[in-house]
Amino acid sequence: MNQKHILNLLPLWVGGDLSRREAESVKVHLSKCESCRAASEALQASQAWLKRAPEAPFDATDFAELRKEVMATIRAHPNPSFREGDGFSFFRQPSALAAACATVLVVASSFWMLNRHHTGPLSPSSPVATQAPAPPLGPLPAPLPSPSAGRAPLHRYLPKPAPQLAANPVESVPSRIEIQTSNPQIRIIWLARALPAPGPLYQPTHPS
Amino acid sequence: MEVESSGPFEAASTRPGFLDEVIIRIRRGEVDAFEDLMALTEKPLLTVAWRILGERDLARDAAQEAYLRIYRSLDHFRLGENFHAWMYRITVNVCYDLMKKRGPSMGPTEDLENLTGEYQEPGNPEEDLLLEQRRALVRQALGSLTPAERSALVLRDLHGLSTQEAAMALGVRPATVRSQAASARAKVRAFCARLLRRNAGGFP
Repeated sequence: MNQKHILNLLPLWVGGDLSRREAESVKVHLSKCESCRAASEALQASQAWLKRAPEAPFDATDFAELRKEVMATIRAHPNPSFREGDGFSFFRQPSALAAACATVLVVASSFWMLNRHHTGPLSPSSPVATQAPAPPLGPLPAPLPSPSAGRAPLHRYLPKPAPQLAANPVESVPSRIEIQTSNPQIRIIWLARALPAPGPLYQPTHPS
Repeated sequence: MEVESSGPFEAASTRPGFLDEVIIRIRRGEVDAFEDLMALTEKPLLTVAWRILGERDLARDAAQEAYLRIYRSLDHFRLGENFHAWMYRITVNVCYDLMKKRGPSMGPTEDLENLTGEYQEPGNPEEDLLLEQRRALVRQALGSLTPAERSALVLRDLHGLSTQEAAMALGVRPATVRSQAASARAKVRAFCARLLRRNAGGFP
């Protein structure tokens, strides 16, 4: 470290703002350099003056007047968020409010997860339970053949053809399509009945 | 930190956590508890304001405004943290606001005749004169600094805050406080040396 650098570091050294290594370097340099030592002594003397800085020109009367003025203003306009014994002061703290929000979120998500994976009987209050009971399920479809069982006829897996319209449309059998949802308690049933067309909408007239 | 300790209240106030208890009482709605808070903190607060502004009446205005701001924002203070650093931050901001309104900074340059409330021990008139000269010199030296340098020097060297605490109080980085305080020390030293050279004397 040269002399200029040491002189720049002296105000930091006097205030104790240097690292231990730098302070040690300054100390070593000061033991050798006369002019830097004189500069550091002058700096320390001015610091000693500052430490004995003038006392503030205020006495007990000033403090009493200050308190009186401030308290009069505060009593006239009390802080509305400081309420005596309302029991909600804890929740007015930002951290407490954040914790309360997080708790509500966790509880709500827990309920949602429980409902999602619910496999037991539904509670009577559930809106699903108010639906009409599902008709008894028909026999389960045959399991898919394994590859080793040979190829099954393709038509077995195709949807059944719609029933032929009866001669009398009134007596036609309605189509019934059932879809089982992931919830075993919910089954969607679609009933459709084919009705005869009311007649040809457009009858071409051929000139005879 | 400067806290008075001369009575039973002051004796109790030295107990750790006493300040937090007072703050809790204020938050519960006990308005009178704020008077206790002022009794604990008014001397350092008023002194900081005076050392930064340099004018007695302006410092009193700053202290009043600072206490009102402290009361209004006390629910934002986190218990367990350094209340004095938080309080100094508000005070320094109020002082800066007042300096902006007042115009160019004059610094602590009050005449000796105006220091009527200052406590002086009776003694040798020559020693008193020397003491007053020294105080006037320090006030002029502080007045020659920029507001940022003066605030850093006042909090760091005169009120004994650590660099971290002073940085928190001033709302700047610790490196900035170190730099500003070092610059202020160098300027005060140069100011004193210049005056003393002019008077052809040593340090009084």
